[in-house]
Amino acid sequence: MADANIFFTRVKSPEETRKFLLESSKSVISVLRGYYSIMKLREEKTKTITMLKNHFDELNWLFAKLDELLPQHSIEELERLLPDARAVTQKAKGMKEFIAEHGYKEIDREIPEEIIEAVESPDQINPGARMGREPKGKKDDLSLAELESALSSVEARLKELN
Amino acid sequence: MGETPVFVKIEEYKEILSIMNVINKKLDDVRETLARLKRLKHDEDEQIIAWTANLNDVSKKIEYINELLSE
Repeated sequence: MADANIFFTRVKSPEETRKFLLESSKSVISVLRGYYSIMKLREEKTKTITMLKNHFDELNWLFAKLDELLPQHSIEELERLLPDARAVTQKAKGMKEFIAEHGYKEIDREIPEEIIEAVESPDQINPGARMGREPKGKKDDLSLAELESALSSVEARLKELN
Repeated sequence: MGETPVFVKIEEYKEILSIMNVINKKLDDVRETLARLKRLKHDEDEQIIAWTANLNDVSKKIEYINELLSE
């Protein structure tokens, strides 16, 4: 039995309304499709960021290694440990010209033991001079606390240099 | 040490040069990865711009339908 309380209203331009509804639906579906594309982009972005982090980890290790290889001691300490070094350096300056004039010849002369020791173990000269980073035994992942401690160590060294 | 020259053992100097070489290559890798990241970020931004445009479009249409229904 038909309900007597049912009312009807007129919808002006129903075709246009339907068209707009379909177009809105199309836009929403296109947004949903974009969701998958954005998720894929983010996945790729995460991978790229991880790759970038690995590059920076490697650079950090390389800088620490470089720092280890560069001289760690002051000239005063060197002069104290190697009193003859300046004289040798002066001689070496003239050596270039000498070699240019007379040619190079290997000489057999023993290097004093303390000089060898001082050159081979610079840590004994200035043990605190090294960076807070550890180049030996490359670490895969540094924690934030370790990074902060390494950063403050580098900043302290920079302050010393300034 | 300031202006005073310092001397490095030849073996270590060679190692330093090879490390510098690796560092330069690594910096190129970093540059390349950053450019890739920039492209990805740009694509993501474009997607969000498209979403905003879609939302504006839908809003206008729904507003129009609303007006039609209220008449």
